[in-house]
Amino acid sequence: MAEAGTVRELASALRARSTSAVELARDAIARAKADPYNAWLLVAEEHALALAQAADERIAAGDPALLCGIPWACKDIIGTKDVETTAGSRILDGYVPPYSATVVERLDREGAVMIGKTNLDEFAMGSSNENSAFGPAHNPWDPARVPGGSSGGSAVSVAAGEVTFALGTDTGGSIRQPGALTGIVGMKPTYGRVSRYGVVAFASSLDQVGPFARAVEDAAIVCQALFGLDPSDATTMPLPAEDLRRDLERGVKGMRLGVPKEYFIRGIEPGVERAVRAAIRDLESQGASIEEVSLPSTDSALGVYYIIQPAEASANLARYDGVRFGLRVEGPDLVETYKRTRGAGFGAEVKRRMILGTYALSTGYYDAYYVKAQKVRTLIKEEFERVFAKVDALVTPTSPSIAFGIGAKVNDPLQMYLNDVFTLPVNIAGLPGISIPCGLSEGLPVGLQVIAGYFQEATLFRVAAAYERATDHHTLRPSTLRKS
Amino acid sequence: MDAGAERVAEGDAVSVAMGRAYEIVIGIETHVELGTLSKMFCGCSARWFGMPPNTLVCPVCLGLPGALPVPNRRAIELAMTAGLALHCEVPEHTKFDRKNYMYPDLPKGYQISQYDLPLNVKGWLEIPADGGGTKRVGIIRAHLEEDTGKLLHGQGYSLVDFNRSGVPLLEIVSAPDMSSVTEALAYAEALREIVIHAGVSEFRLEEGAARFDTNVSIRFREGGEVRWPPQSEIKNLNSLRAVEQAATFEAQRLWDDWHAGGEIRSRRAKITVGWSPETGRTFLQRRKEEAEDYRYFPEPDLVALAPSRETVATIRSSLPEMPSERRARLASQHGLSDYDARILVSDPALAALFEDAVGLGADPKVTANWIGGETLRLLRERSVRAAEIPFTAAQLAQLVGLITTREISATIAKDVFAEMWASRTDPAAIVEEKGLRQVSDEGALGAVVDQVLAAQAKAATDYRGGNKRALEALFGAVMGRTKGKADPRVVRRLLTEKLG
Repeated sequence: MAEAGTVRELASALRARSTSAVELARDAIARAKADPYNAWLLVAEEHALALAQAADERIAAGDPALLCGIPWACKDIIGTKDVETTAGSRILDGYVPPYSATVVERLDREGAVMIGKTNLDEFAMGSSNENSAFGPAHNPWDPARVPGGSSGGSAVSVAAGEVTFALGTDTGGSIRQPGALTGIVGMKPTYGRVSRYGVVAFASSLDQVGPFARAVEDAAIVCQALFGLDPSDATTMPLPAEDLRRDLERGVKGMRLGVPKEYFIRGIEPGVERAVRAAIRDLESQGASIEEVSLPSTDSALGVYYIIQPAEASANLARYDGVRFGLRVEGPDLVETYKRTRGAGFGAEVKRRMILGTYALSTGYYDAYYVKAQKVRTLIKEEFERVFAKVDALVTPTSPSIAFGIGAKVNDPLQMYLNDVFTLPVNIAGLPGISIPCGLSEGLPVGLQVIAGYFQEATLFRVAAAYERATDHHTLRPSTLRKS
Repeated sequence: MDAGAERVAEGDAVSVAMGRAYEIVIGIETHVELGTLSKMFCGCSARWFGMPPNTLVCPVCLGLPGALPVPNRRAIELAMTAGLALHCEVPEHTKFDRKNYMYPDLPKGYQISQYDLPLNVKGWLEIPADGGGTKRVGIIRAHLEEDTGKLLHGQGYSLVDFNRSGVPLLEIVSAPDMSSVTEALAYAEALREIVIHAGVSEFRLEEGAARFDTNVSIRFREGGEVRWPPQSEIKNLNSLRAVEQAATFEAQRLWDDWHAGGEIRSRRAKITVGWSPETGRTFLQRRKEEAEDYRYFPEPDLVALAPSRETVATIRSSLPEMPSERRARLASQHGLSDYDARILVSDPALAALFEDAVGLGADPKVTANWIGGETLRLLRERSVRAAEIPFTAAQLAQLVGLITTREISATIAKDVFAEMWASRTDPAAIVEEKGLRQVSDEGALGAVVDQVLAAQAKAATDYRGGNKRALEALFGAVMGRTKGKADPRVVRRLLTEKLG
């Protein structure tokens, strides 16, 4: 039961008939079932085998898509028709969506084979996967540590070699941070690139679906399948089709890369800073020109994020009322039924954010919090735009720390929120960002974040691929796997 | 200062009607469903009335996790059309907001509506004023939102039908410019006509597809001060009659409460009340103090709208003729009374029927009478919409022609009309087939008159003796014997001649 290969490896094996989609699916299902990290909430065996069978028929018919027959894992906040979807919460108890998210439909269309649904912080609210109603996921590099969050299960499923790629959602860093903490590629597209239709909404103006993979090219291949206007999501952008892999081989020679000084001053672990500085030097030695830039409002980003995100979440989560689907705890009257249902169905962090958001939107506080946050959001966007007039991309640490111990931060929400200080400004601005492995600190992975201008994902992949080619950090595997 | 007391400087414009104990101040919020084929934010059919429960639903209008709204372009156009017909401005920037509250008929837990940047602002319409002449009632705003589902209450349980959920709704908010219940009714009627004429909605009050929330307050002078205590908002009135009765009741109740030293004297904010047609009374629903905080914020799932000036100009230039203009034109062009013009314009389908029939040569006055008379009577009796009148303008024109050329009598005409309605047959064919042509031949009618005079000799004697009413009995007998086909004027002349 070898690890899952990359898209390129598997696709060529499938074309050479040295394996079949059904065989790949069986292997992935076996790995998922044997997964010791609590990465999976559901292994959809029959569903996956049916998809694999269909993929094999397409391969036999010739000219399949690149992703045809490739096993993947789906964060359980992305709705899947006929496959239970929990969002990591008890409140959705028993909910089976009657429709699939657009991203799932697009991967289905490619012939990719979804193996199952992965663990996550409840409603994607968290940075450690410890807020899952179904228990934390564990980091394959050290099972006593968190894999990051909120897309922890998806990150683990790829980092542990169980599947070739996975989908996550990133609202404040929920793909990039777990990508960094588990030593793989995690990418968040520009807001408006990927349809959110069918993805359980957390914070609508920040959420974006993106891939986890072990290779930059795989992330680009998955994005190629996901990107594009969706008539069901009014916030997706109509853009001309482009080949996202066109610049993978170009290298960074002649590129201008910015290093925002505000990303190296707060509580960053020395080992993380060392690895990131080294990565920046690597890029420079490949011919990129490095310049320090400033994003002065970075300090305010966390505050802005923790107003806008809970505000939107407080409205998005109002629909879980026990009337039409999911959990229902009957009370003597309507209001009591609401209270009991929501009281029993939501976890502590979700309740905390709904209270925060409700407060921020209340009469008398709205102007002071929500309106002000939106103004600062505009400032943050403008600062990024100014910087991208001078540089092609920014390079920063993804997370200020390496994977921390399970339980280490659960009682300190503020410490937990600080995990996302380097990633959430990217969501606030709506920019694309990617995290790639850039070495180890204390034997655990460190992520390098690359941020590009709006819809400049090809640039993002160009920098990431160049770095990946020149280094071997992405080939490192969790020691726990190497031992076994 | 007391609650509700307002010191008025000398010469202040606030006027308290003379001869009445108090002045009524009314403002109306009207919710009207737009006549689109599909819902506001999804592709489900918007024609929900009478459909089996929960058959016109999808993830979007059921508020399922992950569903997203996509705005209905036609609904936005219709909303602008209504606004422009109400002389509103369409701002260059407008957006949707979330209005947050939880209720089982609201699947998302918020309603997509418009808060601070509505699609239409600052309009007006004209109504007949109480003191004669016309009066402008301001339209503060008219914004787009989505309708809710419907709750069906059983014994110990409630069911929700989401067919109506997400149907596009226009909320039209008037200024508190109506100073009487009569003016409130005139406003509601004028608004209904404009909305229907603009082709925006059929304004089906009887189906709950249009509702009025009526704000009522009273203003009066007491001890040299003008007092204007907080208003009552009467929610969800679904007929003009309900508006009339509820507003009348509530104004009097506020007045009585004031004089009984009731809670209105200490209250500082408005209350929300419901109306029970069964008891003829309002009942308290909510005090403002306990009102919900809707926590409006911009809908992040939708992009802000920027209606182009070209679009606005196009819609404005393609607005159909509005009711007041049409009334004036019909009256002057065809010499109709204001009353006739008002009836015809009360529904564009009636006005069109009239204009088409007259265009085919029918006499305007007679045509107006037949539309305002028999046609309306049958529409009401059979609960048929004017748009669904079974006969054509050509058939009506033909009928009017038969009447004005005196080929059929008025009595016969009613039968022909009923037959035309039922069978959609041309009136000329009906007359021909049934032999209903009016008999004016003096020889033939003279013979019948002679028979009647012979048979009813006593009546003839009475008449000659001075009892003029006896003539009616004789006349009726002649009409009876001719089965109503006799030309009444010829019969009368023959009778008086022969009795003279």
